Amino acid sequence: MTRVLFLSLLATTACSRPDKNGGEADASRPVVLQAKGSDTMVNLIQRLSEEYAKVSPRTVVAVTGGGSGTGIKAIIDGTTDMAASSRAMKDEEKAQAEGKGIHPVETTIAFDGLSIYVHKDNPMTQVDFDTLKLIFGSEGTAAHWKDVGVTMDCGNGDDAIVKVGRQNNSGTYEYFKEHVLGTEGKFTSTMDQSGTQQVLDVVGTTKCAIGYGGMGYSNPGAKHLCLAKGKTDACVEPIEQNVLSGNYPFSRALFIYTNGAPSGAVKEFLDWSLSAAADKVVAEAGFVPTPKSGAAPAGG
Amino acid sequence: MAEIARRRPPSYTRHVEFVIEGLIRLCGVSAIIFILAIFVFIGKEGIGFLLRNVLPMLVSIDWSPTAEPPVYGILALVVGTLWCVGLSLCFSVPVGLASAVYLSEFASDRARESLKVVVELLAAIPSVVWGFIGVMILNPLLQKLGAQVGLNGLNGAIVLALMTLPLLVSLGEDALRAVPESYRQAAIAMGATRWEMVWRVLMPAAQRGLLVAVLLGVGRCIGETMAVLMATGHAVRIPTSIYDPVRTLTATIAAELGEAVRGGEHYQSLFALGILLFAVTFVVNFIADRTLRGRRAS
Amino acid sequence: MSEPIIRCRGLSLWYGSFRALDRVSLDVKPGEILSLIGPSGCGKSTLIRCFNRMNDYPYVRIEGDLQVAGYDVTSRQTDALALRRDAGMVFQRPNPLPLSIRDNVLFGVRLHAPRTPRSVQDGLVENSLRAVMLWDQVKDRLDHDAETLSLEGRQKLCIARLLPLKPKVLLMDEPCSALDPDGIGAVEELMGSLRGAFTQVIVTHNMQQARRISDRCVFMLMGELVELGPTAQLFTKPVDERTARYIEGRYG
Repeated sequence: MTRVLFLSLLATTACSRPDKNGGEADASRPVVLQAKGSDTMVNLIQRLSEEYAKVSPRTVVAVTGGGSGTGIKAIIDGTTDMAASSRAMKDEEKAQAEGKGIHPVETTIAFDGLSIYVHKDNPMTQVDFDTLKLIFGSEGTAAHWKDVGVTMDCGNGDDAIVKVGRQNNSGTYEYFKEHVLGTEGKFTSTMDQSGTQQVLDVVGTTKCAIGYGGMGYSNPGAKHLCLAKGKTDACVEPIEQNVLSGNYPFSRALFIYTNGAPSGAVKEFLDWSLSAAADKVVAEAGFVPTPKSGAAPAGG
Repeated sequence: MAEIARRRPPSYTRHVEFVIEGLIRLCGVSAIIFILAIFVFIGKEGIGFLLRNVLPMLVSIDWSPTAEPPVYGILALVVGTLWCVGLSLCFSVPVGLASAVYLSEFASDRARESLKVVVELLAAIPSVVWGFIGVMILNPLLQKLGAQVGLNGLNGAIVLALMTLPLLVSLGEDALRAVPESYRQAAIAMGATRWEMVWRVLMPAAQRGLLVAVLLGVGRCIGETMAVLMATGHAVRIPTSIYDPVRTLTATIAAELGEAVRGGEHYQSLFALGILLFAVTFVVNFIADRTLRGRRAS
Repeated sequence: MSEPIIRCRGLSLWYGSFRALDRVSLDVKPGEILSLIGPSGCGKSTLIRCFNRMNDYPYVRIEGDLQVAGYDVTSRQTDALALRRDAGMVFQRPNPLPLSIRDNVLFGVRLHAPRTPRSVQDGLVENSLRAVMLWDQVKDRLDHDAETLSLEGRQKLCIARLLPLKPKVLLMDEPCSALDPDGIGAVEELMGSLRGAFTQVIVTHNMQQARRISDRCVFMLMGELVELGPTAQLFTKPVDERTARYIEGRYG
């Protein structure tokens, strides 16, 4: 859905780009900032922008999703002020940007824990990275729930695992792949959804499904699993304090990329978003605010 | 006469004619230019990639354009597309042609008029809404019927069938109605029942028209995007059961084009898929056109 | 005097509120050729279409008594399909089906006797086409599309396809009006050769034709049967003045 919106907006953004990075001659005129990218972050930036509007009414942040790749592509093409990405830019992408005279600068805006979801009737309560690799890896051998020691009946005595994932150009997909399957790793065939909510919708209605996605989502038919790094490690719940403390093995930083160091209205927005005033908003959106001491937490 | 001539001087008429003719010509020519431009645009972005990778594309079932190194196997996507189209035809052709026969031969005038309104309404439902129907209604329904995953090839096929029905019904009805009344009379006068008349006379007589209806339906199925993206489960694999999720060419383009870096390999690969789709629908429509021409000639 | 094969008593027909037939009574004898003449709109086509129930439309109402080849035509219980097998119809425009010549001839057989063995079918095709004097012309191209025949050939084929069903009555609704003079001659010759073997009722607007081929002739006007008599008598010594005026060319 966001994609349709995005495609139609793409056409309009090119024509609505006032000068936001300096020339603020007319203080009464509204400034429209474009933020584009990670579907995981759409909700977050939307809420931030709504709250920010109370502080700075003349700034409007127009948020569109499409995936981290979309945001990065937009910053490379120079069609957005801020690219929201749940993964770091690849070297190849940085080189492309430089080639076009764009100098992307990274700002960490919040942290996200990636959750593993199963149907609520699934007896499983915890999972580890090796098991995930067996399930989601192209070399993985787990095709049925009994292969990972779970007794399930999904109807007709069948217990084949229904594997639900994200599209191959979402940051979540990249992030999961890198951490579970390794950089060289490959996914087995999964049902590729265009957002974490869709992943949850499928998992919540499909008894034998397992899926991964962002942390800030829920569905009455689905539950998240406690996650352990190795088989022998204690598992950690995907909750805020575990993400921030670095104990949750599946957490990551969420980035905003700008062309050059943030300045003008963009800088004001980002500064506010990183301030203590915005922490509540970030938490409400299901994410973990950046620590205010200045030291980045481990993991991610 | 003289008065009319005075009111509309010949030079004035000539100028108006000239302008109108020019406008009409412009419209006609621009349509051709647009089509050529689309062809050139898609071709330019994708043809190089297609030519470089045609062999690995056709033999691999692995579509991982963002992997390192990327793999661009389209076999599963092509099979997924054909799978959905084929399955959907299993529903839409019998039902569509039966409705066409009913509308053209058996329905009373009033029933026909109201049914045609319903059929036109079906045609007016946007693709996304069909997708929702697949997700919200067919998904739980198929699970009740024993499917593990409700979003699967069958779901997509049913949605596609519902979407192509209006086309099949109205084109099929046209084809049947174009059969001369004298054939019907001949068959009835020899003691055929209405059904025998339909089966033995109308069907063979309307054969080409019905085939055209089916072919255009196929074209519509192949090109349909949003609904199948939502309903099929979007999983790259060769299906082994009608309940397996699949992924189609169109859905792949729609899902990934927005995020592929412009000019990159992934971007080009999606355009290559576009060329493929363009070629397939072109061939289907071409056959339909030839079939129709054949009918006119005979 | 044998039993009439068509027995019609006080037959009236309405299209909606328009009365197209007004208490028509007549008998047709087995084996004869009876022609129906009269100006356009006199009801002659309506009458012949009644004989094998081709007027089964919701807006048509029929009264009276009509027996054709042993069927009570006006009764709802009558098997219309069987009636049409025994009383075949030939139309104004030749209307062969969009099938091969052979399949056209066998169309009725396949409807009414689907299990006929192929050897029998071949015999039926040959005999029927011979009977309409078409065999020599088409015997080498039986699988060709019937539409490849000339108009005259098509009309002969339309007659031929009735024959395998061994009908008792052939109903011909202006069978020659689409044909050229040679075709007319050929079809008339054919009708003559079928005389005796089949009862033939022919609607024609061509008085010369009625005179040439029919044994008896009916003159109709405004839905009413004005006069029925031996052809020679009707044309030379008409009883009714209206017949006389028509024959002299004062109507239509």
